[in-house]
Amino acid sequence: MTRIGSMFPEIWKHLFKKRATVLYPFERLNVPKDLRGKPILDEQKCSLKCKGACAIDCPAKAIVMEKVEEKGSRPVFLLDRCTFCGQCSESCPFGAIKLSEEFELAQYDRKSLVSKQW
Amino acid sequence: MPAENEIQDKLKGAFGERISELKTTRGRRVFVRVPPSLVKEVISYLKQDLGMTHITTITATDVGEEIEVLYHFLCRGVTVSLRTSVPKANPAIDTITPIIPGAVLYEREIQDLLGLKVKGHPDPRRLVLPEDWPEGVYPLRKEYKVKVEEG
Amino acid sequence: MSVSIPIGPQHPALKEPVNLTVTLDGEKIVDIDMRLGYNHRGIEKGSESRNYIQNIYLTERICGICNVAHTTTFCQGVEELLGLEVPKRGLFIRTLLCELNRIHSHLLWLGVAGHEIGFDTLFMYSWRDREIVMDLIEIVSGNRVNIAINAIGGVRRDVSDDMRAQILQGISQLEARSQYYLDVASTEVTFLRRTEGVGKLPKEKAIELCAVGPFARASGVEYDVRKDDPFAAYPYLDFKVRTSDRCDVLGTAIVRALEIVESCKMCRQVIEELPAGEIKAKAPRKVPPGEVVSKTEAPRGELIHYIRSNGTDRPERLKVRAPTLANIPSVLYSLRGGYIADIPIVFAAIDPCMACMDRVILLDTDHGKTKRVMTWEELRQHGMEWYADRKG
Repeated sequence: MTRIGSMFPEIWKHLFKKRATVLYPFERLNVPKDLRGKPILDEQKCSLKCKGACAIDCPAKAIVMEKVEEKGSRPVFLLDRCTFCGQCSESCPFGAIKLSEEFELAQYDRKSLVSKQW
Repeated sequence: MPAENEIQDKLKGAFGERISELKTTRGRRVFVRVPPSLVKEVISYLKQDLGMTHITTITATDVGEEIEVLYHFLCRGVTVSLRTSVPKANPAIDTITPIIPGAVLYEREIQDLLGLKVKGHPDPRRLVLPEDWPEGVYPLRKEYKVKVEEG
Repeated sequence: MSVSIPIGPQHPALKEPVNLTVTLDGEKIVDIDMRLGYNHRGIEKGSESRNYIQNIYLTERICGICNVAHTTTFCQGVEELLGLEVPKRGLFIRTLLCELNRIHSHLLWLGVAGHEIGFDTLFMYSWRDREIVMDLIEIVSGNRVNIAINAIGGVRRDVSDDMRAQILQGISQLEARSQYYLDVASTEVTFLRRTEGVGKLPKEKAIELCAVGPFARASGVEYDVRKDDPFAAYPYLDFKVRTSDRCDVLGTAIVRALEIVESCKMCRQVIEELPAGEIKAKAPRKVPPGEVVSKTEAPRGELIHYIRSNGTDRPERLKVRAPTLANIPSVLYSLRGGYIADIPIVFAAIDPCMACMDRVILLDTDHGKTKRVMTWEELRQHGMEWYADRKG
């Protein structure tokens, strides 16, 4: 049985409902817990001695190890390359990297996306 | 009897010493090596006697002095992988499109990316590389090194 | 006298570029040829210089819509090379995300098909319902696209109890909506006119040209890797393989709508039967030498990864055959004998993920060298107007 205009009842019902589009950035949605956002380094836990397990496994080459005096090296995150996959957090043997829920990271200048958190 | 063991036994029975490295690594997988001259005969046997209906893809790998070509077929739920090797200096192989028309794009791909010469192919144009790509340069061969540019 | 039309690769609006050359006789298509490769990124070569963990993320980016299928196939293959057994809970969570991804892909397709024939209402409403699925995926994995839930040895994140409650609620909403879309697709006259009898592909030709996925199942070919070569948790689930005997574009729409309903049932089964236990087994970094053929059912059809390892932590060879490539000879066959106005919808029927057409350049060999360039937008408009004039 064919008919025409079968979506009209649906459209009529939706005229009285709330709009489905969210006017971002004027309205913001709550993000779920454990959203994969910007990586955060916990300085206390980072051992300085490992050869950069996080940098070896990063698929986007977004972590560079920078020397810290004579003690070893710590990671610096290049947020313009980071894909927010979370592999650095899993590869770190000391649990020093966690992904936060911050995702609004856009900047005008590439240099301001180099995140040195120590 | 599981399907892969049945297929293995039938292949051994039909071709005996002419095929080698016949193995079943796990359920529904069979691997076998055939010489290049026997490829079309084995594929016709698979189609007529073992109910092969579908070719999944054709893989070609550079193993040094030779190029190894693997045909992956589907026979009654079992993936049968037929392996054959051709020398890199003269990588010629016959087309299988008269037996399986669906293999036409896969043969173009290995011709384009690895330099295999598929004899008798109905449409031997490039598949993925651009028209102005230099002749004789095959990206998937081990000699071809990728230049890394840090951006 | 026949006219040859090259359809070029530059297009500002839609997905990926492809080039078609169409030979016409009036408005009927006599022959059609395709040129691919505009989106070739060298992923197979790139995978040889990355270790297995980095390769999970590289294979994920082969396709944005079927990304779970690519990581599942890759991780499954490496697990087989390592001889690793994935804990049951990990397999169930993997399957849950495969099915949620399939629902998302089919709802996206429904919207795109509606858009190609000018039925923008269907487009907007099905994409709004797609947001339900994307929110569920975000809750479980932390991201809407590029889900990255798979790791070698299992999955990376667990499903908690309130996530389970939210997923069940979302699934009930989706089931109701997909029944509604099935109803619209099979009875709405505007949809039927553009899709019934269009792009016919008989069953024997579908088997001969090795078509896969919902496109082949719409021609009656019963081939689904989830039933014939089960992987992940599919051996424990109870579901039907949906086919249709229509052999045309309407058949593909009906098969996809029925598959959304089946996937909702499967997700419900997975959530209700989720076993307790670990989600991941520890995997070594170096993989012993060997080779493996790994197959799964992506939303678009059968996906295969062939991996060869050499004892180091990098693969020797990775070969990927995405399902759209397998469907191209069949779609070119089904377009012959059709009208130029049918090109957008018939091409959309294979749900192209790797190849999509762009600008139509009309080269009139009859009248010399006049070239008229039509954009994709103009081709869609032409299709809608042509049908409106023809059938009143």
